[in-house]
Amino acid sequence: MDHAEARMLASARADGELDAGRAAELDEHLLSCGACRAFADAIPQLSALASALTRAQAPSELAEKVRRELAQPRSERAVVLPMRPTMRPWRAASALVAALVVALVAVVVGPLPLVRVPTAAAARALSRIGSLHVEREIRSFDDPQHPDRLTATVRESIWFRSPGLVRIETVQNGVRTIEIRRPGVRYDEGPGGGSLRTGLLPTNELPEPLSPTILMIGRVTGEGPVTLGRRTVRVEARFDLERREALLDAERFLVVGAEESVVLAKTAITQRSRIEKRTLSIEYNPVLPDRLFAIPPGLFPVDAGARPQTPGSIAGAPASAPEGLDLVSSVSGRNGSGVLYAAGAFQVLVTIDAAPEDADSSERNAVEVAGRPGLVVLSLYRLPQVRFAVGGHTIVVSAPLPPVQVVELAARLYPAGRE
Amino acid sequence: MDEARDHVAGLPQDEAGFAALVREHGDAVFGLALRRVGDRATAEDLAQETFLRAWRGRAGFRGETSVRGWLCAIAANVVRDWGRRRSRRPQESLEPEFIDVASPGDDPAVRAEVAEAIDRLRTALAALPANHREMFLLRERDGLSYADIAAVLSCPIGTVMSGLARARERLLEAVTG
Repeated sequence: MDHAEARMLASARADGELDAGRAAELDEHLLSCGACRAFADAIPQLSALASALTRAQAPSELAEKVRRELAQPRSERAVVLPMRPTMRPWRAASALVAALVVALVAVVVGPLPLVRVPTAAAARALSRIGSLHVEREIRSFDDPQHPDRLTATVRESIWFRSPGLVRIETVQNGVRTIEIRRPGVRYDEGPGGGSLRTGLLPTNELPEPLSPTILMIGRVTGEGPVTLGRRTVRVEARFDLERREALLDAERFLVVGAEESVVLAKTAITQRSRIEKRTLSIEYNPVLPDRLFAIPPGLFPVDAGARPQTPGSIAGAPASAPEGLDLVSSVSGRNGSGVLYAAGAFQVLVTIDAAPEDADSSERNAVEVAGRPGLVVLSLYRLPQVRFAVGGHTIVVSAPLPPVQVVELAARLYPAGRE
Repeated sequence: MDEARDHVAGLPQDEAGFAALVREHGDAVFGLALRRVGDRATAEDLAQETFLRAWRGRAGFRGETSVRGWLCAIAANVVRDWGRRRSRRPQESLEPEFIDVASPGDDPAVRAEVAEAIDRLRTALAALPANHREMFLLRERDGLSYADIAAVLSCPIGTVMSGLARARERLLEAVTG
């Protein structure tokens, strides 16, 4: 038995989690190893010390709040749905979106949604928008006291997207919030007011359609919704690397096409809970007009310690972006690192001289980037990252792409021979 | 420390009894949320959501874990859902939980020595990898079993066992200098 195993068993025994057989093995090791014996003897002292740390106290009113919530009539506590909820029309929260949605899609009704193909005029109007994503999510729960109905929360979101720019309007159980994001800037508005931040925009604040929570998990999919005008079912197995779980989702799509657009009506049943998700997704290429992202006047930026710089002024920056991408902005971080954003069909984040990060919750695989040794780093809540060294700098490239494509992208940004 | 294992028979089915559960386990649930979101107001909202979700799902509780372990596992899911909704990684913050230090006794010399050891422990805790810190606190502070901790952190029991040992090694190194 080695020391690490002995200490693991000693620790488990202190917690009453070790069986007798293994305890005997442990005792045999402890007889001949003073260091492990000292470790085992010190555990109770450590526990005593830990008990002296003050613990977080829940607010005294928490119990009362929960009691009040439970005592409320159910109709006031949460949205109550009939057991077999009927499909409702999309409820758009802004007039603009409502007009567009109505023009594009008649109404989604019944278990087999009926969708009208958009007219050419509506398609032209929509073509001014980079993309539009409307989502209605119902999370439902069984109510044992009322088996004839479900209790549910409802969230509706409307996203306008274009490369690097996102406007999100969300209504959840009657409360409306707005978020506007672009590289280096984030604006939030809710019932309590608004806030604006400038500075670095961490990759983990990328908008949901680019969310690493979706991208970071392996995907095995069946036939996708690729055929216009046909109903299709996609079964997807998702593997959560960090939590080591596999989830099976079944989604039903109705696909209607209008040139570049696609409309999806989706119902997902996961193993964890029932989620009924109605999604309308329209993708177009043209750039979104800036007025949709205007920051309301009267709000002052807060400098988070980063200053805009030109890409060329950052040592180690790639000479140019690969074809199809543009270097759109850059900032210098507080620790001397440089961050560049490249935009095209998606955002690319290049971090230079990044500080080493805790590898504890990450999965790392060795790769080669244009002949150089590198690492693919995968962790939940982050985009896939490729790390490698160029001319004394540590370069980290992340993008909302599968890891193998991020490696290819990194090789295009930093081709062989460029040190 | 084993108070969490005392409740395996079932859950109160009435609202008043359930509110008593909040008083009993509120600190553990709130502490878990606070450690992950770093903001008291948000942590309180998430703790409330945890108990409401637990109330709705109480029929599914079979006593296979302790009540506290079950509540903490729900809280972990609530925080995860919140993190996904916010599209950002839950923030780690130890500040609110380690502000105060309990009085270690009357002897000034002992008091100073223990206070120093607690201070070192607090610093070493903050430096631990997040999952090791969480394992240590769930075990030592909330009294959860290894199976409960594994459920909260969605990892195998073996990972809990090795992680806790590693955490204790590092903390002891720091405390004993």
